[in-house]
Amino acid sequence: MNNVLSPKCKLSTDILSYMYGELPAAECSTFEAHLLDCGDCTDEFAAISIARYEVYDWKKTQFDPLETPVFGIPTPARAMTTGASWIDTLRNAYNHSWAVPGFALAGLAIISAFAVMFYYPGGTGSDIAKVNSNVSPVAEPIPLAANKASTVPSLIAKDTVEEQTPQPRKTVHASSVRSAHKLNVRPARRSLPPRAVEAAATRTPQRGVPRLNEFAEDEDTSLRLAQLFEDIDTSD
Amino acid sequence: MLTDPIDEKLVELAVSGDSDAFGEIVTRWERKIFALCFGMLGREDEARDAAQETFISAYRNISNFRGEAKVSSWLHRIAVNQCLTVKRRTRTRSEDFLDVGTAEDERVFVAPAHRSPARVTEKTERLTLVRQAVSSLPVDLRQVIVMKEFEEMTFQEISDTLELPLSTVKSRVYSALRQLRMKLERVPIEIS
Repeated sequence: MNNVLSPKCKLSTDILSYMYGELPAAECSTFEAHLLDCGDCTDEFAAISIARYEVYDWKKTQFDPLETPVFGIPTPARAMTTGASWIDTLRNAYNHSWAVPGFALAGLAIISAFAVMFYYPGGTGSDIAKVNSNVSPVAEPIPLAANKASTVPSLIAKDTVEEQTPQPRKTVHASSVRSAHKLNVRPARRSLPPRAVEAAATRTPQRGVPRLNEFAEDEDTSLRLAQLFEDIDTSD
Repeated sequence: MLTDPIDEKLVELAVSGDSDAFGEIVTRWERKIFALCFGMLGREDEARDAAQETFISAYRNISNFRGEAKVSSWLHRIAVNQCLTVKRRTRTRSEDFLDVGTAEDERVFVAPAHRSPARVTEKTERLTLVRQAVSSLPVDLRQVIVMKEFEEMTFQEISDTLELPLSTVKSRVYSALRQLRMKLERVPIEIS
């Protein structure tokens, strides 16, 4: 502390400590005795005391009479204990900093689960892209084709499972099927197993969706091929 | 200080028997002596008693004032003595000393009532000046003064809180009080 008084006053540094009552008792006596002898220290002490009292009076007059404000800080735990509704509970939970990213992650996880379930090959979705392997073999024999000379495997789509009555079929994308049409191959009719019929009944036709073949997905192509091979005359 | 010659003149008049002159001295220095006593004793009631006894003692010994020192220094020393006397006394002081001196000549220099309109206005203005003076202090000085006076922290506590050396804290408080003193002293001269 800068000594603004005479450098001879070593005890001028104790003015503040003495004034605020922080000087040890033994040093207080020494300082008091010094005040009686040193006019400069006494004047300095008075000057400091005046300034200090003005601040003290200001505090006492304008600050001390003020009531301490009550700060109410709402907490989620407090809301739960007071029996708040589930909406308030959800709203309070949403107010947390982790709520938004937590909900976002949960949404992503749910979407990802649905996507996996839908697009996974072993799943139940995407029936259009996959061939139904749950088709049971046809119980009744498939009638022979009209043109026995045809070596083109018939890939003509038979009666669709939705169409129980014979109706002209739509064009098929496979070129071999077109050639089969040209060969005037009569499509074979056969009854479908009940299981396939039931599954087909629940299936809704999708217009504009390209199909790899025209026959129903329940058809057993293996039998048809075998049948066709039987028709092939390998004799010379 | 512009008031020094006037104070000495007043003392001369008081020595010659002019009670009004000494009353004027009391009016001018009562608050400062009271502040000094408060700084010494730390309590308003004891400071008030000590200040009262200071002026009583000064009036009784005014003839011993030789003019070698300033009136303020003279009053300060008397106040320090009185404060030390109060400190050595027991808490249960005798009221006889205060009851004595109700003679007319001694009541002349008793401070007027504190609730007069003029006093109230003066106090309001002074509080405004103090607030402005504190607000005009540098941040580092204002901070320690507020912590010391409003939060009533010790120097060591302020040192620990602000992570400053103890000597730096005391130095800042001292500088703040000195600057406040200069700012507040400047105002009465400008008004007059």
